[in-house]
Amino acid sequence: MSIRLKLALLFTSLGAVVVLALGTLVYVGVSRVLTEEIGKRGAILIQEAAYDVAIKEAFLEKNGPKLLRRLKVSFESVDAVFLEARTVNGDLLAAVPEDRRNVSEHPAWSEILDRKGPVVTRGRAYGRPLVEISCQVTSPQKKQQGEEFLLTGSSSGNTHEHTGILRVGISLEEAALATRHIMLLVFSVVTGLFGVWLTILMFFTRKWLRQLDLILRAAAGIGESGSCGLIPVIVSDEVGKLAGGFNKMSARLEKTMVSKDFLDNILANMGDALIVADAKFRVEMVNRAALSLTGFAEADFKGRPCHEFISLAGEQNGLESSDACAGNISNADAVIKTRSGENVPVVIGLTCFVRPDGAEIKIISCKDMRERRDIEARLRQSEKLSAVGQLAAGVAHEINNPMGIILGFAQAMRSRVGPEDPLDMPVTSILREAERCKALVKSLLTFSRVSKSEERSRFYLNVAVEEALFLVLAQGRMKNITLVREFTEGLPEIEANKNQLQQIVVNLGTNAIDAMADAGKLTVRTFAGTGVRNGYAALEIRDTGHGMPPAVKKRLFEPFFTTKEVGKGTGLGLSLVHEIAQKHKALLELESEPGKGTSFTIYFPTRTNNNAAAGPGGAT
Amino acid sequence: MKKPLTVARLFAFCCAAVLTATIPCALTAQVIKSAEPDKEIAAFLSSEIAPYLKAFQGFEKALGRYVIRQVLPKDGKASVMHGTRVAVLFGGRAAQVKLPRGVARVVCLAPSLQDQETGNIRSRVEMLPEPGVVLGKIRAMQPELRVLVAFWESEKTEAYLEDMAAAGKKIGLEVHMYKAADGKELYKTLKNQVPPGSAVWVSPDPMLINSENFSILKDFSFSRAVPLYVPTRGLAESGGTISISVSFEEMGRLTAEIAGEILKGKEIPDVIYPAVVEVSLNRGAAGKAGLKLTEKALEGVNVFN
Repeated sequence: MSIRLKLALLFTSLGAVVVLALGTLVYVGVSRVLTEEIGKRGAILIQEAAYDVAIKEAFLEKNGPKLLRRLKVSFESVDAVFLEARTVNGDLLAAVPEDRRNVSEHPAWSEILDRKGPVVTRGRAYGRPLVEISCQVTSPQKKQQGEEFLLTGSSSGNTHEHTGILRVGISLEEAALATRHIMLLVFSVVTGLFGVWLTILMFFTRKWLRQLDLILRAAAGIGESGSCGLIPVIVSDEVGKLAGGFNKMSARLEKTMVSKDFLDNILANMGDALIVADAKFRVEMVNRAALSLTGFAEADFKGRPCHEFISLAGEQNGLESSDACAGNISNADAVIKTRSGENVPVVIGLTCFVRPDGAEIKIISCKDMRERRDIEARLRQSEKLSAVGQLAAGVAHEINNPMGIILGFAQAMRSRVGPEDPLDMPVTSILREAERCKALVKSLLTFSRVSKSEERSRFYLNVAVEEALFLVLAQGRMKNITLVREFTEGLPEIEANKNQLQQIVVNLGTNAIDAMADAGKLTVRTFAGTGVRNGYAALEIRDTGHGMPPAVKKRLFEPFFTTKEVGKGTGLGLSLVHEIAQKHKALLELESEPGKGTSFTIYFPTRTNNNAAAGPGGAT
Repeated sequence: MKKPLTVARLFAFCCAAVLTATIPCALTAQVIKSAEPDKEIAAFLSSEIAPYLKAFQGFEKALGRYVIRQVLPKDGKASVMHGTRVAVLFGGRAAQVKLPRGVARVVCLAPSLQDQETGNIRSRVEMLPEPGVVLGKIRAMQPELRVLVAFWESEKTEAYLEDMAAAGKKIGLEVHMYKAADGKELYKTLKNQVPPGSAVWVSPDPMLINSENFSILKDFSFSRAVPLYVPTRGLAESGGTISISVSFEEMGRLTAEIAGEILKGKEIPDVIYPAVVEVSLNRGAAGKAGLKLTEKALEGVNVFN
């Protein structure tokens, strides 16, 4: 319920109470005044009648008809319900209506006689509300008594004898009718005035309510989004000051929220696990990385001692038993226990500080060392392979010279041996195999050449790929892999570092062969890009291996990422491919599905789209 | 040493003795003479109420002689001594006593006496001073007063009120006269004819001022804050605001003066209006009647609560 409605209801109910109270007061007041007025009017009339000498004489004479006549004249101006003239004993001398004789009521006549003036009471008669007025009538005064009173101002003895009592009942119906009319008028006026007052009140409080409304909306905004901006201050009273204070508070809160959000984001996005504990190493808070690292829920951490999760290397009793816990420590090797029971190697840092309330807080940061350890192992492997490569290159270089001599002598022998010579076949075989060895050595030397040159040349893709496949082919044969070449003829030349391109082919080819366990098909395809790939010469290397899940695909080009067993791969091959492709502004596409094989396609930009010269083998 | 008795010393002794005896005797004779009742004047009182007695005391004091006073019995018959020439009558009832022919009647304090009853009266002392004197006193009390409502009942008062109205005109005071035959008329007139800011004056008329009517007047004065001027101090003490009256002693003195004149055979006026006026203020009643008087107005006024 809005405050405006509440105010309206409050004032309306207040007004209703006031109107009712006022109405009651007015009703009682008006009714009383009118009744008193009628009583006074009747008292005046009855007193006049009591002073009337004719009535006094009629009382002395006990002349009922005369009394009745005089009384009717005296009270003709009022709505008299009844008129009575009684003796001092209460006996009726005259009455209107006649049945007053039968009225059994018997007021205390002596009380009326004792009173100096008229006696006014309220009552009912003949079913009508009325005012009853009684007055004593005295005898006329004697002359001598008057003279003595005149001279002395006091009466000696009872100079006026009571001769009777007059009573009149005047109807109050007229007063009741008048009261109703007055009440109706008063109610209409008061209700109207209240309506006007309420309207004026609401008009003058509209700014105030508007200000409250703004504060309310702003408060709701803070509750929902944490910020609300500044609200305009439209009144200058306490509510306006409240709005001003609210603005200050809001600004301060916003700053605090920004800081808190910032810190929360830092904590949430921290790569390292963070555990906050009390002075007794009971966990108070952990960040998201800690939950992710351990697999525990936050509730599993809360209130539990740290040693249940973290053990320093070489410490049997956990973190808190270490002497280091007395002070700050950094880069200490430790293991953290996961939900699955695995002990994850971490490097921890411990910082202590004291909160404003005096409580000591321990902040423990844990850096997951698993990947680092893995990378370190791979680096070691890579270094090992690099050494092997260098060794192979050295060996190849040393073999190259003898092979040259073998090839030279073999060629010489070939020229001297005729086709029918029984040495022809062996010499031919020696020549062929020697040439193959020379080509292999050449390829090895080419591949393993340590060249920092980024020099690029123009060459045909098919030629460069064919040369690189020579190295892959040997591995394929060992695993019964069928190599399928699908070279498109007439591709334009590309401008690239040939050695790096061949590294791409060797790496992708080697990976493809490794992906196919016993047998399979390795397809090497070259083609011209179409559509948005127009102007590119593409190389596709596709295998029929086990394929890759999406998680692996995601990290495929990360350095040192490998799915091979430790010692078999460095995790640098595809990373290198990716790097070379980027250097050549080539587009690298990967298609792989588990069980369906993998396909890598690299689009090399040709120099110009219109410069598509026909390659070796002619254009197609 | 004893001195010899000489003729001179004897003569001086005799003179002293004679003087010593004569002075007390003369004084005694004088006292005896004053204590002797005056046989030419007879005094009759309607009753033994204080006003009659005070007036009689004033009368006797002014006369300087002892006068036998008689209080009228219930049957109203009085015995008159032989040789009585003047009968001084105090009160309306006394004024109607039967007297032998040739006895002059001098009436005092008989406001109830009607005109037709004054035929054989040589002279009467009125209770009221001259109308102009009364109005002068009222004006002194209320300088701003413009309307004075005067009530009367007896016919003999009408002439007095006409003189009063004439005197009022001279000093810018309207005198409205109303006859009130009974309490009812008085009540109605008061309600309808007395304007706010006016004052009410009532004549010393026993038919008008009885206890019932005086209550009406008093209630009206208090409820409407209208000052009520009354003709006797007794009425002021009973609730009237201010009384403008002649003292009873003064009226007795005037009566003695008239009786003396009659005995001397001089002509006397039929009606004597006393000149000496006494003003008394009932402070409580004045407060209720809304009358505030200045110090100057209160000079020479008997004030009581």
